[in-house]
Amino acid sequence: MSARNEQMLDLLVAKATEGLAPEEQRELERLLAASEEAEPEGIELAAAAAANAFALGSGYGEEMPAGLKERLLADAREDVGRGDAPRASASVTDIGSRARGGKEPRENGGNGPASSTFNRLGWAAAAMLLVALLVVNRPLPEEPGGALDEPAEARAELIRQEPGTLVMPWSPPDVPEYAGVTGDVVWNNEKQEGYLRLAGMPANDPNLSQYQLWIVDPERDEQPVDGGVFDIPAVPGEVVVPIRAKLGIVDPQAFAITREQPGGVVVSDGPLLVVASAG
Amino acid sequence: MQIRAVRGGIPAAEAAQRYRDNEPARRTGRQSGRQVTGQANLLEKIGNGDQAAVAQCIERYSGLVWSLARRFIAVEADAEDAVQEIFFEIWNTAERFDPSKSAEATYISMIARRRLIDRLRKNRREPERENLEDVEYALSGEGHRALEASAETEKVVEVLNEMKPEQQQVIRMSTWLGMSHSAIAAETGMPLGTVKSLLRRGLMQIREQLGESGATGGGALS
Repeated sequence: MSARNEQMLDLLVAKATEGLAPEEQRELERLLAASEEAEPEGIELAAAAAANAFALGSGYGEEMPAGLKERLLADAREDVGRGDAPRASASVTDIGSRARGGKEPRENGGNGPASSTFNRLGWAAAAMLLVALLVVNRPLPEEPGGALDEPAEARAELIRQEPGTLVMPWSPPDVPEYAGVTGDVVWNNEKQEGYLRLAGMPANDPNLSQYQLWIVDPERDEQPVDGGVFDIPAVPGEVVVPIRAKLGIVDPQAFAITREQPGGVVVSDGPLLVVASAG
Repeated sequence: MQIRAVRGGIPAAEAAQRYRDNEPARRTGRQSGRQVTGQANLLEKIGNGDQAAVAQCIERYSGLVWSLARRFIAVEADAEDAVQEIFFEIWNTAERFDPSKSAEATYISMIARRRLIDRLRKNRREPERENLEDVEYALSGEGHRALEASAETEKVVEVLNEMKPEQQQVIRMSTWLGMSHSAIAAETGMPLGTVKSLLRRGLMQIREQLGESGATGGGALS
């Protein structure tokens, strides 16, 4: 086995057993992209299968608390079968809904999911960062001609029909791989409806990593809200991703995207790949 | 809270015995390599928005997920939050489940462990000792039967039983108890490099065994 494959296997084992730091995750993605590894989740599945074998050996005993089971069923009634989540070009996983109501983790003083990037910076520092960003609040020109997918049409309709709609361009990204990303965030607070428009965003393999949206809304919470995860397909062109902020965004000041492990994280180490600010 | 203290013994051996004890039920329950009658396509149904399948999934796997969460997270309220997050992720990734790669229980356990590891890592802490060796939380009846009926679990138990006790111990501490490599080294007195090596070889063995039936593939690393 080559040294590169040795390193890749070490990282796969580490990921499956104690997790990876962001730089390790990026290194793993780089190695996997250059390898012929057919099943990057194979070691994780092996660890899970081992855990199940030990679970079997633990015998019978404690049941999940009945109240928790009821909450799971109630949550599932909201999460499953809505039928409106896009599944194709911009597969989005319920942006915004994870942070609502009883689902909010109790970390960070019970204030909901948060980014440790923002935690470390503190709100004041994060605000300084955001103030420094270019603030543009103007309607975009009409969508270019040609066939548009449904989210793109809905986005254009929101801009045309709703006068209070904010349009926040992505600031020039600092991370080199994302330097070519353009687009904007469109958000209407009254309708609690919005869209991410992204062009030049590197594609992700959902088995390795997913993009995660964070919504900075200090009126609601001093910590940024987990906006859920989404994928960027490996096809050229623009992607429009709907935002479903069911938790009730009060006054969004910024939207930021990080790249995380599949399914997203509770607390992010960043970096913030692209950011749009409302000023 | 009903808990059962387990001290000593080799869990995998116990699992193997439990598996053998349930042989008749398992044989009638198993449909083929990775499917069990009544369990096929549960996640696929959820991916299609089937609410009845959701309730079934919670009933079947709540014990497994809860057991994992209680080992990784000391505070019960935090464990409950984690379980909600895990099931939320299961609903939203159900359509990605591929029965040719793993059993349903394995996929669910993978999602759960991934989320729990992330929580531990972000909080920079180890599982609390009281959740580990001295207290064994166990599975609900249906969840337990789901594992018993899994041909995949049978294979893994066989692989684990072929390993030396110290390797089995390391894999148990890591995969089931959520301990970091350094914590395992401290607990067992093994050098860190030995822990990593045993873990790596053991997981590769399991992967290869699963891969033989087309489960997790081999790729360039096997």
